Amino acid sequence: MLETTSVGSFPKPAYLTKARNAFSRGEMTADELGALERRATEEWIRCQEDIGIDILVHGEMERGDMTTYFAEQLIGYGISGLVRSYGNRYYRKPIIEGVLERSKPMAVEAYQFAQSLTRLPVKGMLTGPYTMCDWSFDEHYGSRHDAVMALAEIIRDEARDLERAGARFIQIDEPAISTRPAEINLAIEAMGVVTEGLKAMTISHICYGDFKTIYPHVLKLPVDQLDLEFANSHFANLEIFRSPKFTKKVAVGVIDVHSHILETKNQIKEGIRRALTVFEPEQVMIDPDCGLKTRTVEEATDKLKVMVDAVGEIKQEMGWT
Amino acid sequence: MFERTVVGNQPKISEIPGRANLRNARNRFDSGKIDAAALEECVQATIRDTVADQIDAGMARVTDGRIRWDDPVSPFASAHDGFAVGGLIRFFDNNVYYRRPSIVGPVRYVRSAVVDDFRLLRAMTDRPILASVCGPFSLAKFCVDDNYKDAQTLYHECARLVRAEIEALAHAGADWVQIDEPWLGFCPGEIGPATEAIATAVRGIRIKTLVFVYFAPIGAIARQLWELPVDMIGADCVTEPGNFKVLLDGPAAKARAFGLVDARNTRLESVGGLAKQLNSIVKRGGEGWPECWLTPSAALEFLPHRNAVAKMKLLSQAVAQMADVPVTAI
Repeated sequence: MLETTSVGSFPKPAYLTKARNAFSRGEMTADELGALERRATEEWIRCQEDIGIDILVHGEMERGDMTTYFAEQLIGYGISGLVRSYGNRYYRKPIIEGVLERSKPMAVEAYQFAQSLTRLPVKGMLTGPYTMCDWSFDEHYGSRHDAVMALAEIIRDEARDLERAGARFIQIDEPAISTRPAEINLAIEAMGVVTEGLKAMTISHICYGDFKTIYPHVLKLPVDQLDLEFANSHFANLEIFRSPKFTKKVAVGVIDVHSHILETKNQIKEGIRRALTVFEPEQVMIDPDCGLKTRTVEEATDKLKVMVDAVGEIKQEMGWT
Repeated sequence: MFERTVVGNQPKISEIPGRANLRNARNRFDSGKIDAAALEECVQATIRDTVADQIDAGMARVTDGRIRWDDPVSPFASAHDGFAVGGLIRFFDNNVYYRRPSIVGPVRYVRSAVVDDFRLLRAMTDRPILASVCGPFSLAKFCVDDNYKDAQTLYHECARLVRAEIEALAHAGADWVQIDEPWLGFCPGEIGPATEAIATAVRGIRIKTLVFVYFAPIGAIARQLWELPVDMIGADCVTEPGNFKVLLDGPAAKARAFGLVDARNTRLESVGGLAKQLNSIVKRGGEGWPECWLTPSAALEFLPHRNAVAKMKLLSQAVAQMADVPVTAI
């Protein structure tokens, strides 16, 4: 009950940011960069263990953007120049230029390395087909359905590879799912392809959209758990899920990942208490609103610590320890 | 005929070597490595770059590229009283996010959010300028209202604020202002109070006004749009191809802006296809309208810089090729 986890990305330490820049200028080899990515991954695994997180993430040290990382490795994708997503944050938006195909597994190696470092479970992390499509330019398919379903087959293969590699938790992020409520059936159909036959616990992270436009329909998304942001809305979003009853497991975001300000333990506890008026305790995990990569290493660590402390106190108060 | 311009944020960064790098400058400012004056220098250099891009691509009327704007609402929410910064939310159906403001007290005009940049732009170029403001209805819709709790009052107060902004632009010498109203097309049921708010913002003002609607269909609200006391109606004809015909069918006395090239996809339209559309406009009497502008479908900031420039150039290429294409019946 109230297990703690994280959504996916963690901030890259300064030495890795510097190395990625050097690599992009051709001043560092892929092997040299990979060694530093593994060092940073290990640091984050140890950090999560030290803090007392229950279900770990590898932290995505090898990824820049959650869409571009996969697009760069797929046949049929090109990468555009930089486009802005929020404030002063930019990403290289992929361009679908031809038929999409996977030539090799893309997420397994990082998962296996991270899992080899700890006895605690590490999630396998993927970007969902709907979001991959929505966050790309499409110069080839001309049909969103065709592009999403092509991506669904690719992400399905990734998910199966992760399960074969031992992943007990597979997260298939679909933050874009609320972008066009009229297309939710397409996202559901695609996720059905991805998760069919998987025995691992499946999770989908959704954030920064208008949840009321997709609820309760989103409960048909074929995953076991929805991972949702709530701190960003000061938990006002919770009311959307009060009725009809939420029928899946839920990870409740209690940390605002876009704020430098460290939440107090009491603020987080209050958020958890409010969430427990909507969801049954057995349904709930606790995590930040989204990936913490936009924070500094220190901010992210402090936020995770206070989150785990708050959960510990709530469990004690409820007699769940 | 067929004056070209742009209708929203232009890309703030470019991959052209030697250009100003506003992304780096903002990061360096945030981390205390440069001061406000150095950041401002970079902002102004970026505006100069975006103006040069527009002129190079054949835009007859230029903008400042809204280089200081991250979205259509935050410049106004941060400049005036009554707003507080809120949570992050997606900007319509784009992978772009903004902090949705809350209205926490009476909305009061303090100091123009846009006039300084209009003056800056005026000093940079002799070209005609298109200034912009967020429309009153969209300003209200972009916010969470925790103060008025009454839509009519909210729209009216936003209209008064926007009117003050437009008056400030007129006073500074602007001759055209774009009033961004993306929410109009999404809320046809509120078109009455929405157009009343726009009318309140513009009636009697001595500056020409363009109401531009993007991402949504305008067919259901066309009659009310044409009746607005504004000089020009413009619309995104890519997301909603039906908007092209709606604009064609408008009254002859009203000017139009056709958003013809896709501001949200890198795929380039065919010049021939665009030229056919232009000939259709001519066939429907476009030369008799007060003005007919060609624009991208929305802000070009959804594209990388080089693609944005290519889209602007397409508009000019289509005009140049018009003569070679047979006039098409609608």
